[in-house]
Amino acid sequence: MAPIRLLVGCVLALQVFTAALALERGCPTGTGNNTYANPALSLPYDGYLPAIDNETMYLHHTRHAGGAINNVNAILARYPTLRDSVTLADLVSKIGLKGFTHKYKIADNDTTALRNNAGSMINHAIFWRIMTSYNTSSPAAHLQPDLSALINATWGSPAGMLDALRSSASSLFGSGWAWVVYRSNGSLAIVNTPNQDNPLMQRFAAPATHGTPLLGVDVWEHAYYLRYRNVRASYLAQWVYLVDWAVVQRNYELAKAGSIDSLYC
Amino acid sequence: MALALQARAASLLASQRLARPIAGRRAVATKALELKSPPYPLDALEPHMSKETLDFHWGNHHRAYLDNMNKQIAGTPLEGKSLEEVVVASWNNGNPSPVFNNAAQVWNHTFFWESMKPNGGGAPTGALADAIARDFGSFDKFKDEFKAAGMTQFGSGWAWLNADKSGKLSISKTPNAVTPVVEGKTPILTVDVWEHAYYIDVRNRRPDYLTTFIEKLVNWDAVASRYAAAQQ
Repeated sequence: MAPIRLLVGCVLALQVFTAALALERGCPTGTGNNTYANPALSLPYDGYLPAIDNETMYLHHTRHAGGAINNVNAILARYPTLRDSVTLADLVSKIGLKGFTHKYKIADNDTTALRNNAGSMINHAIFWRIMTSYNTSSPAAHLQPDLSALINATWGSPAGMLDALRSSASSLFGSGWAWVVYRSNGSLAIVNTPNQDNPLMQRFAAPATHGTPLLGVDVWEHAYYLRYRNVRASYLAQWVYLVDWAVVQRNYELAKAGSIDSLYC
Repeated sequence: MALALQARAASLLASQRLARPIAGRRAVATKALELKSPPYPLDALEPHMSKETLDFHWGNHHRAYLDNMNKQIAGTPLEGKSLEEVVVASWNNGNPSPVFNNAAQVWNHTFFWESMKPNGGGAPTGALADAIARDFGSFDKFKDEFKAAGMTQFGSGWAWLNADKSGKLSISKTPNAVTPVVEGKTPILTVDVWEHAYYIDVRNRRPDYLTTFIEKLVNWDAVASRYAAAQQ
């Protein structure tokens, strides 16, 4: 029966394609021990110069972000239902909420550990995706009229938005991240979160910081210390040249649709 | 010497007191608080903590906290106060003002430099050693617990060994600039676990840094003096 063979063939091909995509995105594959992987960066480690040096990218990607992924896998091994039925973005959004904790019977220390490590995972996933080669992406080339108008209305211009982001990132004391977020009322805002918290975190992020991240910048010292030492402002002044405006636009469209692209499923 | 909030305790940072304007005369310009150097040359902790780390950590980070604090308090009622007074006032009972982060970090870092010495490490002796054995089970268990505190302070912060007036010891950890001083405790030892404290030397390997700190850098004489002072 040719049509059925064709159909079966298509379904199989789709499954293989999806699995390959899942692997590429570092998602649990639904096979074996069902763990998250650390997807490769879109550029080689030295591809972010002169803003970020290759040793920093290597350490950041493999040890800091990679370590968090290993930690998440170790924790989720003890919560197979949670692991298999909740996406990373959903986990990050709901970790710490009473109903979520109760549903998956998550111990308090694991809530803390997931806050820190799954937070780190999603933060870095957003971060890697939002960066491209230095000074190769422009807002004019990639922002659609709706987002462009919204940015201009809020900050005067994309440059104004980046200035405000840098200001927020500079003022953050200790470790954390600064973000441009899309709020549920359709507005944009710049917020920052401490440590590895993410604006998606309903329970742990301060209400004023809630939203869907469109872009974020890491200001933990490990993100810039090797090249910039204590001069965070110099790092930020260079980092803004890495922003991939096509991804900003894509993240905005996903956010409007109630979704988030974090590289992970 | 241990810092105590009790009145009349000797100030750790007495050398940083300001000249006070003389009432009834034309006001003397008040000097800003000054940066106290570590009690050893910046290369003296090598190979355990590099000169480069000290150059940046003391010369840039610690100095910046001081400069920023001085700018923040200039022309305010906090100008002219001792560092400890600025720390407590800016903590504002748990609702800290922007001054706190800078003031507390000035205090914390001086306390940290003075917690270390060249050819440090080894083990404490005397009353302090006895108290450690009593309160933690053994020196090894104390070391493990102190290192665990440093490891588990997520993000930036500090790990501390504290003593109460009866001589009982406890380990604590604090985020960012928070110091046990504002929690009513008397610290006698600290280790900085902000990434800038160890990234030049060991990159992300905070456990290695903590082990080196405990085994090679701790100034147990200073800790013992602070311990004695805490009980007075």
